[in-house]
Amino acid sequence: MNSISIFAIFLPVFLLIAAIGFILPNYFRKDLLFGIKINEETIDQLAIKNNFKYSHIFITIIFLTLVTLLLYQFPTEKVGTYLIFIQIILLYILLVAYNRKVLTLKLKARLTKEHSQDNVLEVDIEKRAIMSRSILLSVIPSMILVVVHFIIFKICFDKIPEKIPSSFDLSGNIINYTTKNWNTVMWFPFISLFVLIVFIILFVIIKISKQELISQDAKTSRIQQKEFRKRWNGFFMILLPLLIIHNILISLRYMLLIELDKIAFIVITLIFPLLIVVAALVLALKTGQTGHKIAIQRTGRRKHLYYNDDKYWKLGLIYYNPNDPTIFVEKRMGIGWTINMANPIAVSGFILFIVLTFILIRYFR
Amino acid sequence: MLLKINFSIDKPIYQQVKEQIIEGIASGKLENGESLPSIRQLATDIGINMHTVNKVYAQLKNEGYISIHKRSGVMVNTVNLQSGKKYVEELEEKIKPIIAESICHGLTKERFKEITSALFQHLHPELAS
Repeated sequence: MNSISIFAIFLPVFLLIAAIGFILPNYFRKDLLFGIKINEETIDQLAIKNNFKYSHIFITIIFLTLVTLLLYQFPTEKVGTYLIFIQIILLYILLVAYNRKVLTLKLKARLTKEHSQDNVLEVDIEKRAIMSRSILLSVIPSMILVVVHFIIFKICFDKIPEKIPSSFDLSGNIINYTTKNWNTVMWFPFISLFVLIVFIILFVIIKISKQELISQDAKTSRIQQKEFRKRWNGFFMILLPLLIIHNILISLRYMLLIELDKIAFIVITLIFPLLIVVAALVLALKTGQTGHKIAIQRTGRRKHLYYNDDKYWKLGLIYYNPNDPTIFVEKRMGIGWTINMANPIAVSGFILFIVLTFILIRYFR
Repeated sequence: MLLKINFSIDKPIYQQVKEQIIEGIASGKLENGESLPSIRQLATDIGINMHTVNKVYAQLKNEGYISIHKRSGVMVNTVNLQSGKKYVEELEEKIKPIIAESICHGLTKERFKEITSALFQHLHPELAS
């Protein structure tokens, strides 16, 4: 591929990650600053957040300059993908640096304060079911779609030409061919199955992850939490069958069983994935971690409660609490969930998932 | 209902949880038949060992506040609670050291009564009047 089309693919990704890094501090929970539990007035939050943004812009400019030079020299997808990883790692390094900085500031502020506050946690004791029935509305049709995908590919195996495309350019012209065999064909239904499994895991995560209420206003936080779970659940319910249909369409095109004109190809391969990413981002930003961005009528008075669990968060990124049976917990910096690294079930499940993914890719490629 | 767990005081967590669930039942915040979270959910949200929550539920069950079923889970169940002779004896046993303490502190009988009725009022306004 030439350097212009490589730029066309990767530049939006770099800019998107840069933009996420820039607005990230605006989306921290009210009781968190770079992953450190803070107690309202003790630290000048705005100054630190702005400071972070300046550093981030500075790093991004240098990074993008290097990216331009590198991609001009080596215009390959591989280099572009590595650069994305490097950009994400750079962002995390900056976040960790600020996490350490805030911790130092906090410890200073605490030392000067005469009495440190009691460590109080408020917990909602409304029962949450592990699985709600409504999920089946999405999971069952998706299961059927996955089965159909396998069946189509099994039945049509003989109809598929001996040479099948292995890659397309942006407008849907075939660039490379590969030979047909069980692996190159059945890879696609297995992706559908993989997507289904990932989404079932996501539904479980939403239900069983630790619920952390914001100490200063637990009653409001509790309602936001519920809405947060509902919204993500709904989003994934809609997304799951769409993604499988998307994969079926793409795989049929790869097997040359259907023709797609230029516009249809661009819509399916570029616009649809982009829309999903944008929708997920909008939802994440509008909802916020634990749903703290959801506008609702305040139900309780703000309290001066304070729950400090910093010691279980290593570098603000890794949750490690041996006493806690929690498997999934919301990230402190960033969007989404992470696991309790001290929980054997969580760690072994995580390793198993990574290994299976790796085997799947290795086996078919 | 929200539980408030204080990690800075000496009172064990299981006792804090247990007392607050009983208070919740007394004040009507937890109704008879209402579901309580599973052991795993409560332990996850508080961030404590599941044995601790198990202990709370086992004691509450023994004392007749909740019932535990395999399928429907943990539920508030107060039908077997009575203020019979046996309970009154237990209550006397529990209050005795507290009254002894109050006497040592020089608290009058009237003041003690005032405090108890204020607490009654606080927990369940209807019953107190």
